[in-house]
Amino acid sequence: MDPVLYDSFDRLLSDISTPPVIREIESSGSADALEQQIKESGFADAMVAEDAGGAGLSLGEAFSLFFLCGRHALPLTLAPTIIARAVLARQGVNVPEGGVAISNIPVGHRDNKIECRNVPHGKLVQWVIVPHAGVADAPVDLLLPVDKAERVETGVNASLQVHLSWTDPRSVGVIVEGAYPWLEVAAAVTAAQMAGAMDSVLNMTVRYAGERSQFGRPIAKFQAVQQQLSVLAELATASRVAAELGCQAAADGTPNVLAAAVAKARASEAAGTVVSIAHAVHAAMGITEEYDLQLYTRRLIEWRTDYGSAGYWNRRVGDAVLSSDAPCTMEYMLPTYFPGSASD
Amino acid sequence: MLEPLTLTSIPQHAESLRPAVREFVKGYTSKVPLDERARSWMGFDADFSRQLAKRGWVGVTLPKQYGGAGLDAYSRFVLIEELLGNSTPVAAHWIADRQSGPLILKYGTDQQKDFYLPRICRAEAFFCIGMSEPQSGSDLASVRTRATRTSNGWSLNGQKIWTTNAHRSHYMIALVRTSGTSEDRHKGLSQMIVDLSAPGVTIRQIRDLTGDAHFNEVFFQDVELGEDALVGTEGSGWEQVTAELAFERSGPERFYSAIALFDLWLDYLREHHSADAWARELAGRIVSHLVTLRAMSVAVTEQLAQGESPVLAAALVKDLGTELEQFIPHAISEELGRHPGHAVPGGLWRALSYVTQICPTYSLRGGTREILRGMIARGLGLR
Repeated sequence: MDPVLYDSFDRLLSDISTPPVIREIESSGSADALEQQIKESGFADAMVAEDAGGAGLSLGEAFSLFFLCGRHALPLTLAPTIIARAVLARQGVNVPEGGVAISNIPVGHRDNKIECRNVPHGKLVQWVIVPHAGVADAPVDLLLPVDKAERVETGVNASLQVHLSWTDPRSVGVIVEGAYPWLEVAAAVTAAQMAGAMDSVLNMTVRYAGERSQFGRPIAKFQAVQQQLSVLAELATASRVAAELGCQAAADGTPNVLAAAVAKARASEAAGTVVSIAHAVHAAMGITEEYDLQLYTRRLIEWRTDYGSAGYWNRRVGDAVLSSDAPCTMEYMLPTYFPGSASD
Repeated sequence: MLEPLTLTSIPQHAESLRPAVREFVKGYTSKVPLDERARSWMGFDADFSRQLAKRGWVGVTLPKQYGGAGLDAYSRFVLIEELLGNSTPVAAHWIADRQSGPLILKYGTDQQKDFYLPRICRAEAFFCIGMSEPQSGSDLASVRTRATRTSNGWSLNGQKIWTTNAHRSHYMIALVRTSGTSEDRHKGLSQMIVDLSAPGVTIRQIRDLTGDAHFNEVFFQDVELGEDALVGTEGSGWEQVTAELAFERSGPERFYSAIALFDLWLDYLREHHSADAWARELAGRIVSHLVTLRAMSVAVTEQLAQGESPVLAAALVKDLGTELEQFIPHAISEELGRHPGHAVPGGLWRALSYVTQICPTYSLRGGTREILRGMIARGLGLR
């Protein structure tokens, strides 16, 4: 994407998504001031077409914005909102004010009631897109207002997730047509945010290892520590490349859903090791409330399972390769994941 | 800090090479069963290399005046991806194509280029790399093999070991000491081209645990080398070798090495409809890693094509890539062993056994895991 846009968003988030602001939002469960600042920045319409007042970024170009949301642990649902506003605008749905979350597949469909567990940033949003809402045996994607939902707290310290359920959801929501792959794109966007958070975790951990001394020298000078930090760097780099690949779409805007699956699988698999190494190097300091590492590692732990963990998405990827009749994996992989490559 | 790798796609001029290579490769793979191709780029078939050379596909990055194709790093990526993705035996010309040719082109004299490069491109000159010695593995700067000045060239004495395919190669490019002692470390090292048919060269094969013999011990006793044996500058061997290694670390050979085994296993699951949830997830996990590594490798190729020397990024791709290549046999072993009542086809079993046995070498050749991670740590500013 345009480096000027990237730098300006990076600077904006450095200024407004600071650790004190993040802590305040996590403890109060409201983010009015930050939401206002983001709204004024106009980034929520980054993917809305230019003739409709947006910046017209493709999903692939917007990857960098999602990455930066994660790098700054932005305690808002901006990334899904960017997606939702663009898709809704394109489908002629009146785009509502406020943040939009994308929920996981609802767990319960009884008595004309649906329940969405652990809605990411659910405490802060006004709207939720619920994919595959299977009310009355007709799965549809619904845009549902949070003020009509029943809220149940997760009870997890500082988490912005909440369980939301709606009775008779079709009477309060809007059907979103177009069969957009909400879950897959939400997974890819989450992978991008994970890669951003890993980047911050890497930087913090490398810095800390250079500052903390034991046995008369910085712990960064010990090979055992160096080798672990190298692995952390490898995983952060791989997750970033996978996430960028997962945010690729065809020229007509259709996302590559299998690439999205790879992105979430790769980042989710890496997250556990990344978090473990970062905390091991930081030792007890890293698990204090006061030290900033936890702002990123708590998110990585939540994001790892949001929309499905590595195993869930790898099964999807595995089913696709097993049902292919290409003569070899390479010949299957290129057209599927790298559609620019020639194929026969 | 590490520079981020940015997603890049292979440009069309390079992709345009793919269909012809694929068609040629099909002519080979239709005749040789997949399980016989599990050696991947350790498979040695001089005839196959010469057939490739006839089509102009050996030394493709070398200039046309030397018989090369004058193509860029992306074109070579496409070529070797098709060759390795289909598990063809490329070992005979592999080292000359990947390293020795580009090295001679970069540092060689006009006479050296005129002599060696056309032979490389015709697959008539196969090369091996003489780096390790009995006392010099990861600590490469400690090499003791020595070339001393004579009235009309050099006299070479010493020993190399773990030299892949020395017994089937025509030339070795050896890292040797031309001044000082091993205490001088990186100073005083030079690269020499050694004609392996010269008097005083003795090659002894080392059989490996799979029953193959690709490794060798190579002994030099008063081997006379001409003035023109020296490649590049006397005393600059270390810098030249380091630059060479960047080419060696980020290509498709760092994640396709176990692909024949993976393909055989997928075919088995498909034929027998025997993929349970665990197997489906494993197949997906391997593909997720392959896709990611391929994207990373293309991103490093972009840096090579820009004329950069992405030493750190290449180390990172190699470490992750060989980890996957070693994961594949162990995971497939585990998966097949979960169903003791199922008969594993002979070809799959042989390929599995071969790859499982040989795969420790994947993270030795081209720099061990620990050395690579040390380089990455240096890039992170830790040392």
